[in-house]
Amino acid sequence: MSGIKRSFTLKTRPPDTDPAPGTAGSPSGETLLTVRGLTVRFGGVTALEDVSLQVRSGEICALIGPNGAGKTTAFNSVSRLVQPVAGAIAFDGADLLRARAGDLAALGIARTFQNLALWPGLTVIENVMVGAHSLGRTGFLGAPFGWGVRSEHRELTERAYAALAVLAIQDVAFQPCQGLPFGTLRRVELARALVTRPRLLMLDEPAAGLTQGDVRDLGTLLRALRDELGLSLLLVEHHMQLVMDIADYVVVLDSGRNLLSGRPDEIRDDPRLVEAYLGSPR
Amino acid sequence: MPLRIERGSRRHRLLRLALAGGAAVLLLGLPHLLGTVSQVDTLSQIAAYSVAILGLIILMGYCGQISLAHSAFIGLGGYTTVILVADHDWPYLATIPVSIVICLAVGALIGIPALRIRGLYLAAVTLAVAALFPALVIRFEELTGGTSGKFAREAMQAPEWFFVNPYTRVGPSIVRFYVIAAVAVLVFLVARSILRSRIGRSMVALREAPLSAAASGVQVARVKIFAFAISGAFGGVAGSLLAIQLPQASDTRYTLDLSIFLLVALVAGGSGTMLGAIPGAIIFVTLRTFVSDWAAALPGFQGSDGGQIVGIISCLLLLAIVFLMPTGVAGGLQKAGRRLVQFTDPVPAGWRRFQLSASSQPTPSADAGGSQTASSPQPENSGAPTKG
Repeated sequence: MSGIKRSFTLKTRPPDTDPAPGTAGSPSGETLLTVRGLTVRFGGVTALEDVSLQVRSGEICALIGPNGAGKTTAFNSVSRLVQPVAGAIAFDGADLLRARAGDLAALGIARTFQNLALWPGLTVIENVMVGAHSLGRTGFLGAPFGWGVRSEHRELTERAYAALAVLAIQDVAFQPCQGLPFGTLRRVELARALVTRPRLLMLDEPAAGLTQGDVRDLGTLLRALRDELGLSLLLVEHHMQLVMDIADYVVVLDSGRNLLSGRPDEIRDDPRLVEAYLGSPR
Repeated sequence: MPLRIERGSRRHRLLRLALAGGAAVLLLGLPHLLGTVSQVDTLSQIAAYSVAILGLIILMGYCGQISLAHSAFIGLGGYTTVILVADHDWPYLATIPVSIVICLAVGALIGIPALRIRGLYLAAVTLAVAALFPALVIRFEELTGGTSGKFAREAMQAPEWFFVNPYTRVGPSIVRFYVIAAVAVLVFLVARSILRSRIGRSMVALREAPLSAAASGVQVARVKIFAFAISGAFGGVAGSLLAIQLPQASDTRYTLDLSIFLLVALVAGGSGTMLGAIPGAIIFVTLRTFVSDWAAALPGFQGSDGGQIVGIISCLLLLAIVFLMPTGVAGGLQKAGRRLVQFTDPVPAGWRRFQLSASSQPTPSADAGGSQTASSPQPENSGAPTKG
């Protein structure tokens, strides 16, 4: 934890070195995240079997499927909260299976959770500051003596405030999370993930529980993140309209296996997708 | 209508300076107002136990880990000081760093099971440590003096240049109080910078949602071990300070009872803020000395140590606190204080240098400068973030 994993000059990485807006979604973009042959078992239950997916740079990839299809398990395997029994996960050339959950933020991967996993005991801005934990460098030796704590605190506060400003919720920055409306809390969680300027943003059902208007705003925001910051996104989502609107590529899971994948317009009318969601006609 | 003060403003700094000055005057002046040796000694005990409770506040209040092993750390610190002074002629103060190093190491060791287990199971493991300590003291009799205890012959004295003459009525004990209070203040400053650092925030995060803490880049295992080590070290310092106040150590001084009463004091004093350690220590010492004396003098209890009555009273106190003041004395005082003074936070001045490129975002209009406060009570912000 004491090592400087990522310099503070991260901000100088200009967005325009990333794929230009028009080309962002093109399948020719280089692959950022590769999951191959992933198998996960919980005791006797096989949650995932031989699942593969790819997220290309500057692309929004949606992972869909009925409840229990293993989307969240696949997600948790990538963020190293679940240990697969077989398979490979590579992020930008690095073998993620050799990394610990706490290392991912420094590698450039951030995520949100399906059921908000904020810390109610901290204020909104403090939540986002913990999201920026990996940018800090106060170590266990320095903290007791306060070495660099003050300047780091100032910088992390500024970074967190800037992330809140992107989501237009900076006016609740110093309030406790408790008691804020759900839509605002979703944005706090998004700000917490964004504050490190990740390259891959993983969102687990970001539209769940949002009003129709909020979902529209979310779609606009996610597209802006892709086009302007060059972020790659992997999202698990049930809100089909959102997925079809913004995704560049869709991967469908069913009962822990790859069912099909393709561009939204390619899979939209696939009978297998309809069957997975609605069941086969008798 | 409470007075509103912006953090970091001139008024805020003046207020903090005044509070720090007031605390310093109180610490220096209080023992002079008290007349007797035993009253000053009580004050020293409060200062020493506040350090022990502070260690519990970091571990249990902030990091959310349960530990009943605190008595063992206080004992480890106490024996370290007494043995080094009695057998090796060390000066008293030089033994404190040794206590810190030993207790940091042992604390980290006890933290290892916490990586796997939590809640009641962790409580049981740490309880075993607390129960084992007196047995170990008896087992290593040559070192610890066994059941007859260990004593340092000479209590700590002031050096000649010290401004308090040790040959007054409360002489040596007032010197010891100043030393203990000075070390305690240092420990509080250390705790303050830990809790303000990113490590302090990550402790709260891993208490409330360990998975998302890990996903945010917090090395959960290391932070937990660190919390155990620091908490143990604070316990060790408290043990050394208590040995400075009364230079003796015995197996009966560091039993499981001590851990449990410290827990009562932690809850009663308030575990949500660092300053809860002070009311906690006052409650602890009051229960263990005054209430104990009073109970022992009750008709029908002569000859007993009053322990049962103290236990019952602690129990009632705990119930009352949980129902009436769930955040403890410190939490209650904070709540009352917010009716008088409220602190607001300024918009961080340089946030724009980290502004994410977002040309399509509406530029927030209201916060043009660093002078404005961003604590508007308006909770809902349903405005679209990305219109345009």
